[in-house]
Amino acid sequence: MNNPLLLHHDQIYLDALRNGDRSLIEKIYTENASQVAAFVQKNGGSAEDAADLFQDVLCTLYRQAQDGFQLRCPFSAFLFQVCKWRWFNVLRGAKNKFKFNENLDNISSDMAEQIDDFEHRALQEQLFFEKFTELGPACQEILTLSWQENDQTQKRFSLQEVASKTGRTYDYVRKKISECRDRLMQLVTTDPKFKELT
Amino acid sequence: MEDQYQLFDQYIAGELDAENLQQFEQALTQDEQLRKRFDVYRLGTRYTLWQKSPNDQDKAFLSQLSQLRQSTAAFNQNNGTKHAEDQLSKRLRLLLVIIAALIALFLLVWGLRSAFQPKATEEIILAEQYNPLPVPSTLSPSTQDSMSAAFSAYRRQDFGKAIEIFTNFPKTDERFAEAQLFAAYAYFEQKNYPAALEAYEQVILTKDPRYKSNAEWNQLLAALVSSSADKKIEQYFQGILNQPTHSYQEATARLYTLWKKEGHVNFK
Repeated sequence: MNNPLLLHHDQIYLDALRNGDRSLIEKIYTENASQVAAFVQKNGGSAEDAADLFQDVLCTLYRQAQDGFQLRCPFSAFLFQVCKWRWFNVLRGAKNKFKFNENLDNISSDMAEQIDDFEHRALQEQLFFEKFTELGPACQEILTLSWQENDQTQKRFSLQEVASKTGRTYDYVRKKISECRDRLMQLVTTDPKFKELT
Repeated sequence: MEDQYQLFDQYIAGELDAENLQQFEQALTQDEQLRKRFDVYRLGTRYTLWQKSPNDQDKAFLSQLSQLRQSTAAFNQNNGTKHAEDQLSKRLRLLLVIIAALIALFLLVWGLRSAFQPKATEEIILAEQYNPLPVPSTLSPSTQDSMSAAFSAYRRQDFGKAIEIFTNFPKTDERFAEAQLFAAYAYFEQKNYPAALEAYEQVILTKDPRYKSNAEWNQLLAALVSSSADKKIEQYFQGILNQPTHSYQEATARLYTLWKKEGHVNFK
């Protein structure tokens, strides 16, 4: 996936999302919003649904760009196809009887593969978060703090800092983090969706 | 297993020393299951932070998207459509008000016009249709005395005197038809319609072309006014209508249409 020879020049848009480049992000809206809005409204949704969908996909792109996701196809086509795919799933998930009159046909196999990869990663992060929310409040608090970065040092909080912030002892935090992390990953890896998504 | 997930965190945080880093990365390339678990863990922890505790960069990004969303016309079409619908609704309401006002104005004008428009009353129809011949300005020497006196009475609207003289002319007199005609006018003015009808009939029987048409027309009018001649009205109408060159053909046809439509001509 990260072969620079396959990198599409539209990678600049992913870089723009990752870096918060306002002018290019504006261009993403200017060049793509109306197409997505028209598609959603044509298929049973509202302009607000389209805005939610568009923003949701851009947020996923932002996070995955930070995780090293690279583009091998034109950005606009990729963005539109992902929006279509997600809207399709919204309609299907809601058992909406509205006839879906467009699909993901007529795209290159390479783009289809990228979309599949992109969406699988999005579903993986959602599965993880879903299981995270099943943990108790103490686990959620401690794990969240342990993954956060200190604004000043740009490094994750140390166990000592987590202990200090939560008012617990270092040993309690170290043990609790280990327990919570194991519990979380047990929930994730034993969920049937984990096998489907990996 | 516990060490494994601790390694995940240490790797993501960049806390592994060179030796452990190399070993971990080698394990990731060799152990597919480890790689899958690590991918989910890496993505999941990032997403959890995004959801639970976004950093400053995340917040700035979301703020940018929120602003762009507000300023993107394509995503505000619902509001635009609603605004357009409101405008359309306002215009439609205004149009309906204008139409209602025009209808009300029309009805008002029509009502006022009807209220002040003269009705087709007996007097008006008669005034429009009644057409007695003018009194002759000169009279023949042989009949000058009696006819002069009759016409003089007629002009003075002394219809009784006029009738007395006009009806004294014998049928053999060359001016019998004229005398009967003016006697009929005088009867008509007196509203003695049966006598007028009879006098007009006498004129018609003479077939004098100078007076026959006028007598037939005024006989019809007298019949329409008279309550005793209803049965003869159709006959009088047809008598004129069957004469294509009759001088009162056109007027009779109009009156006949009115009479047929209303069932009567309200002269009474």
